[in-house]
Amino acid sequence: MARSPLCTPRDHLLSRRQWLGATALAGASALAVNPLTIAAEAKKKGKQVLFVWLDGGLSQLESWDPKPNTPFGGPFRAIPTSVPGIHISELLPNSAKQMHHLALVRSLCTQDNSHSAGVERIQRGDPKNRGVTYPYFGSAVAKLLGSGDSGLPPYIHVKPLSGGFMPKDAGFLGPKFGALALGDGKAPDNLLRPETMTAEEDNERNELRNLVDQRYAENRRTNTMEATRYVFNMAAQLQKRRDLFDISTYSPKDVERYGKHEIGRHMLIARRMLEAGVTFVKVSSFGWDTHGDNFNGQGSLVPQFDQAFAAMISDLHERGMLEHTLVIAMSEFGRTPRINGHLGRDHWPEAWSLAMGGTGIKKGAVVGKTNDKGTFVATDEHDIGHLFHTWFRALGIDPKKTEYDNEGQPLPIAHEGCKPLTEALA
Amino acid sequence: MPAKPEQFKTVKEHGFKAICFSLTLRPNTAKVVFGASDFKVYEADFAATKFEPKELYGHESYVTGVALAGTKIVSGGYDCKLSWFDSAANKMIKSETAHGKWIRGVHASKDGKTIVSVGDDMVAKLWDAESGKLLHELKGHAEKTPTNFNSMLYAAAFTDDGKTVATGDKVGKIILWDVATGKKTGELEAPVFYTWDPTARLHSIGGIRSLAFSPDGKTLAVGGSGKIGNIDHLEGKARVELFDVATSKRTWEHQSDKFAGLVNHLQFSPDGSWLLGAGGAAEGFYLMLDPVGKKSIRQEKAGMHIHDVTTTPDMSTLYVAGHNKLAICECKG
Repeated sequence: MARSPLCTPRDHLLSRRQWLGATALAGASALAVNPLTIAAEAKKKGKQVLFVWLDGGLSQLESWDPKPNTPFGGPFRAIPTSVPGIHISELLPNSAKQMHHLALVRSLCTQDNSHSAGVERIQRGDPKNRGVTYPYFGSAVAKLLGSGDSGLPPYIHVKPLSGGFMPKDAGFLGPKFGALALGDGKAPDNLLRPETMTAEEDNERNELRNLVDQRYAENRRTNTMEATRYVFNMAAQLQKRRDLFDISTYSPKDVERYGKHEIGRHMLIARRMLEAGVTFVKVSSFGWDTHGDNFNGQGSLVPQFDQAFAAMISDLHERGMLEHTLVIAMSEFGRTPRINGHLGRDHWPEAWSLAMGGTGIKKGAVVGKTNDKGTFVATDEHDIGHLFHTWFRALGIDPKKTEYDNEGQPLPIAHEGCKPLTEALA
Repeated sequence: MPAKPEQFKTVKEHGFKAICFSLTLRPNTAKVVFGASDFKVYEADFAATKFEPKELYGHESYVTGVALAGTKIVSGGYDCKLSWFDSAANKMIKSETAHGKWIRGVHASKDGKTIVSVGDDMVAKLWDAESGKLLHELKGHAEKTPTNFNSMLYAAAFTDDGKTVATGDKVGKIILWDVATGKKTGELEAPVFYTWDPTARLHSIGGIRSLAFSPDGKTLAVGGSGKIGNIDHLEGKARVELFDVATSKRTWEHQSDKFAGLVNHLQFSPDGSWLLGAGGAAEGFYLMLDPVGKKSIRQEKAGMHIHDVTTTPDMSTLYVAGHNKLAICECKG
């Protein structure tokens, strides 16, 4: 099965200069959302999102929709959760205890079974084709909710391997709404002022830059310069918040609770970013595409996710942050019920699951169900467009009334043919 | 008549409703006992006019190891339980949680007196086959991989004299144990069987999946897969390594030039002149190797990913368990 090309480290190296370049090149088409319909209320309440992306495809049968003792069920058992009647895989014992904060959707039926198409389609919400590239959910939220008062970038992506600025996430919104990726949770390269430069010299340099910017802006579009200033301001803000990246300040107890493995460390960094007020924090985990040796693969990955995810849900609840934070954990598709000759599971967009919780989401809800063997959805099928409607509504944004303004072209923020899953909404 | 690997042929394959993970042959018969992914243990007679596996009893998850101790069947599975079943009386003697995590294999010593079970709690346990009494817990394999994932303990094998047992784990470590005392007597390293992907998936695959001692106990064969490029798939070449037990040195490494996948079963011929390997990925394979001349004798495609093989004492007849199939093969002149 073909995989999407993986980004090379060069693609994602970030410096303030590169960030500036990327933004300026695209003209920073800072497209205004209709001011009359923007979710001002949500913005006031400081809504946030934690988006956990399990790249390659979490097996629904080894997670949220187990079918034990059936032909395709695999070896794992189902366990009860804190919500009577809801059972999930035994690989998720910690998440099971948090189920009263969560909702499950077991009726996902999406269309693409390749990574290259599925990743994009799912994260862009599969709007109708209007000749533009829609933003990823993170960029959309960054645009619609803004940065809040944190002064930090609105869309931060904690991911394995390399970091950098990811402008392509923003689609037609322009790179200003791309993701700032923290490779392995670390601060962007060149974030801090070099030790060889004094603060005074740095200020002088910035003054010179401002002067050059002003002259450059005289014959250029205003939004280009706005984007430029935005990027430099963000870099300056990040320099002030270097504490966010100082892992020595994490509580050893929290490090243990989240797990010393990668997703544990990254989830803990994500919590700090949310606490600091970042609007949208995405945490990615790689290695979930278990075509071969699925049970050993998912059996080693899911417990790590479970430990970190459950710790996060518990902490967000204890801090009162679930009241204003939407949490989503998902992949680009599920995995085949049929167990292949590699003892693996292949790609399966026909019937899969996700978990979500927090603001606007009905606690303990389960939407839809699959048939006894887990092969197909037995109730109404739901595509990603339905989820985008649901998530926007959960964030207080009405997708029926809110539009993007693409230089005069009104564009819906979610597929018009879909609607929210009302049974999942609080 | 000694088996002739050059004459290998598949006699018959039988479809089965579940994945067959392990099997063992009842002496002097064509009857095998096997464990499957439908959580059950079956008996099947390859000599019967109609091939109809009969259900004996069940586990609560995949049954991944079966061994015979006289009339007793000892089975283990992903439910972490070892079951002792009296097949003569058709009665369960006992079923107990024997490991803290999945049981990966159950093997009997050649004299049938000792059973070894291995599990993902990274412990190998020696049991008295007759009484079911735990003799020794063999602890020495690391619970975590170097990158902090849970490790797995897949393989075990006795020497023919039953005095030594070897165990092999996911990261390629093999430990030799003295059966009488339960003490560690040696360690071998076979890291090529373990693939960690540091650049794309940040995950691992592979591991030692099979072990076998030569009849004189001087050579240990180790099976699995070679390094894997894309760890989403079992695409590494089928791999066998030989070690000199006395020196812990690797004496031969062989990778199939024809088949990819895991070598799940290894077995020396009674005279040590050839070595059988079997396993698979999407499809299966049989490898017939010359461990003395260090060369391949023959490679044959199988009709399924093979998980286990049991043979007549002379290895002229092979009974094979695999992905939704059971098969009988011969190496006769």
